[in-house]
Amino acid sequence: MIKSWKPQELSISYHQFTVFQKDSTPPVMDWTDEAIEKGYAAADGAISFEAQRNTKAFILFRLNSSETVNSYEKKVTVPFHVTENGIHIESIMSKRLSFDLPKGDYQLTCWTVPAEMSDLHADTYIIDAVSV
Amino acid sequence: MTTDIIKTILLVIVIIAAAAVGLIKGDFFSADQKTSQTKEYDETMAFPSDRYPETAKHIKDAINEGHSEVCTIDRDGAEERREQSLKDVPSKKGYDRDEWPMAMCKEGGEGASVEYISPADNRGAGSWVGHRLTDYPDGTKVLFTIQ
Repeated sequence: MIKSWKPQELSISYHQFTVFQKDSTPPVMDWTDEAIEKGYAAADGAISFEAQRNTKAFILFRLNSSETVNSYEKKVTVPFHVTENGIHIESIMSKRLSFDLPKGDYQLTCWTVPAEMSDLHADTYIIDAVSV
Repeated sequence: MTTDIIKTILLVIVIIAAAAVGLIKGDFFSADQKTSQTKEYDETMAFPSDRYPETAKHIKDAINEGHSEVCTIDRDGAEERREQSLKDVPSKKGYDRDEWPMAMCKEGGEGASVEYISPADNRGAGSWVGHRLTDYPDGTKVLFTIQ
């Protein structure tokens, strides 16, 4: 299955946004110095990616996409398991975005594209989910 | 007669001593009275200073300086309030800028206290707060205390 969702706006706070299981609550993430160095933190079936700036950003979610990202500032890849169909993405006290990602194992890659490099003229986080 | 006088004197001494202890410990002006004085709130949040000491100190200092200890959740206005509160505080490499009241609170925005905090402390604190508040709707008033 190949799918790309349209970009959705998210207000970033505390330099992070979390990908977590549908119908659950984002867990407390322990942002150790090591996690900050790696650019992500993980807990309870969820992943929080570091965001460069606290501002309005776009989340572009893609499943098994073959499109490449040419201009980006940072790229982080982590394994992720979807326990039931569907995931959410939110930052701290932001609105909640939903994606109907099917149950299964994935490699999640988060590409950080700063506003000056983005066609959307705002910080953009492209998240590629690749089935494994 | 003499016994009654002694009893009365002892009673007065006990009352004065109790009042003095209460004043020293601050009991007369904390907890219940403060709660009823300050404000209305729907929920309370005991923020853990042992886990996020820098952020906790900032919250405590800001409240002592007169900033609100109650946060009225208002997600939609967060972006604008953050711009106002951070406009004169440049970013600094290796630090996050922590705001109190937080940008998601109606009480935040222009004039909010802003402090440079280590990212590990501040981002953990943000995650902790988000975990506890995420299900509260806009308009919920949360009283923060430092534990």
